[in-house]
Amino acid sequence: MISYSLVDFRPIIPELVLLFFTFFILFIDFAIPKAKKKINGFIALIGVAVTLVVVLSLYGSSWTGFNNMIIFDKASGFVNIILLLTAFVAILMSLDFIKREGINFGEYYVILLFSLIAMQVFCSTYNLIVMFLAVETLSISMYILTAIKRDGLRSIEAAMKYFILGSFASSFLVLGIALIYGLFGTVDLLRVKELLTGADSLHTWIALVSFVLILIGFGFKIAAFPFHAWTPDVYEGAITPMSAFMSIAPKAASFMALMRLLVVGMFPIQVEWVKLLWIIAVFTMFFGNLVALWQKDLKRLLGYSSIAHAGYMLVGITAANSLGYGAVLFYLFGYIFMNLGAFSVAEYISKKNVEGCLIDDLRGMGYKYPLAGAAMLVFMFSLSGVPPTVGFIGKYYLFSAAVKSHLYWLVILGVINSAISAYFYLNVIVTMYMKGGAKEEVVSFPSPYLRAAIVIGAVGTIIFGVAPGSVLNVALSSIVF
Amino acid sequence: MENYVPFLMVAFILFAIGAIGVLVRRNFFVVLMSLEIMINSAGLVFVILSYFSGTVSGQVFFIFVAAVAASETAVGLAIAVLMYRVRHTVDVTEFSMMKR
Repeated sequence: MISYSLVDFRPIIPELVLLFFTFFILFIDFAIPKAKKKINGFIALIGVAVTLVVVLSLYGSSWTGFNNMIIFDKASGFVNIILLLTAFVAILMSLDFIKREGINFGEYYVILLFSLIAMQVFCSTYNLIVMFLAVETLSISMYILTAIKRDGLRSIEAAMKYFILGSFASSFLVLGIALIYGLFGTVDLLRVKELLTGADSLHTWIALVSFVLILIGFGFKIAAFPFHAWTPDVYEGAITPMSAFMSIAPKAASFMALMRLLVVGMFPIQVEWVKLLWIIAVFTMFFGNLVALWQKDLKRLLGYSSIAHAGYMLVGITAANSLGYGAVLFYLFGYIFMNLGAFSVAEYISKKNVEGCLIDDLRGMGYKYPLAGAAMLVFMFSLSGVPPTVGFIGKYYLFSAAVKSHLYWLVILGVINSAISAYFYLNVIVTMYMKGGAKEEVVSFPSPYLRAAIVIGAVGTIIFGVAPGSVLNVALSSIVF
Repeated sequence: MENYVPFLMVAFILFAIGAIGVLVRRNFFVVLMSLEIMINSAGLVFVILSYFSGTVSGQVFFIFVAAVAASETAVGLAIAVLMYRVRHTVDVTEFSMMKR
């Protein structure tokens, strides 16, 4: 007989706090007149900030609850911080933007926060069924948020593609979980690890097949190579704050869940999955960087660049040592600032009712809007991994973890990729400063919150690049497996 | 006891039918039905393995899977409505504005 008590609720305190604010918005939304819907955004902002404070104060405690179905450890605490920071900046980006686009419904923030709660659950469990429910909740929220611009041709096309491919991938995920369940009679990864250790070769092979099926579902979420097809379309078609949000938050949660799956559940077949991940990481990096060379749309470019960055982070997991896992967490943390910043600049020069944002529109921006131009300079340098930025530190630790595991070829290919990526990131900078005067029709989007988002991005990119010590130590020490 | 293989075969064949349907069909509604076949055949694997292994948890998991499949379909239908509103068709190939 399984019994629950109040103690079981400790690991889900952050989720409960955020859930309270989510339902609060849901209930008061209909009492707020159409012109004042921004209040919802501020409540969401406060909710995320309060949850961030709660997570920071709970950081370091280690709890399990509900018959080991949900846990709260240092790693999930750190990923929670990443998720909440991302959501905070994404809401800042949304506040004025969704009013301009005529989609300022209260549901926007509610669905965003629901997806955020799903991600929090996703990164803090060893139970495959809980993982499945969380990943589906977050996917369904993401489909809705992609299509939230209901009359935009591109956003509907993006939502359709995202929906079909996402459901396709999650069916494989369910099948994989079902096979794991049939094989071991449990969906708890800690149990699976014990049973897999003493398993015969047939069991090991079927476990490997089901692991590959689960990897299809997770690989789709992190946009790894064979399952990346949705990324550029969705990033281009979705509204800019949402593209920014979904380029980091679902990835952070999925990387954490992937690490739990690989490092804990699939520990006995580590030799096999390292080989598999090696191939996936190399292809992901090369695909993202090579195709990005020909892109003309800034958001699409950032989509391909995010595929490449998923490849870099897979290098950290392929290294299969605790330095690599910690480096992945730190890279995700740094990625918040550089990528959200780049998307904020894309939003800064976006036109009303136009989903895309051409790189050509950036022409002369360095002189017309010097501060935003300088911020974009910082983001692009950071994304390509130039030293005094957080992108360099992150990449350095990812690759040094791979060196520590003697994966020299992987590191060489990774560095080659970094060099390739410099071309298209620097192309953006060249366009900003050296391609002549600004276009007349390109005007900035006057939103103080958006400016705050750009400033947060630029300051974070530089501060954590110059002085990464404390966060890096926290990231490296939060890996307990 | 060992004859669960034919049952699993049924589930896998259903899964393959669904997967092929998603890949080759052009009508969004048929794609939606194919997705439903896929996810429910995976749920069928849960039920089969639960029955033959003598534990009930697999059948409980199927209820989760079915609930998720239902909510997914609801969102899919909403997207179909949006598609019809902007283009007056639900042909998937008609929606190809964004190319690489």
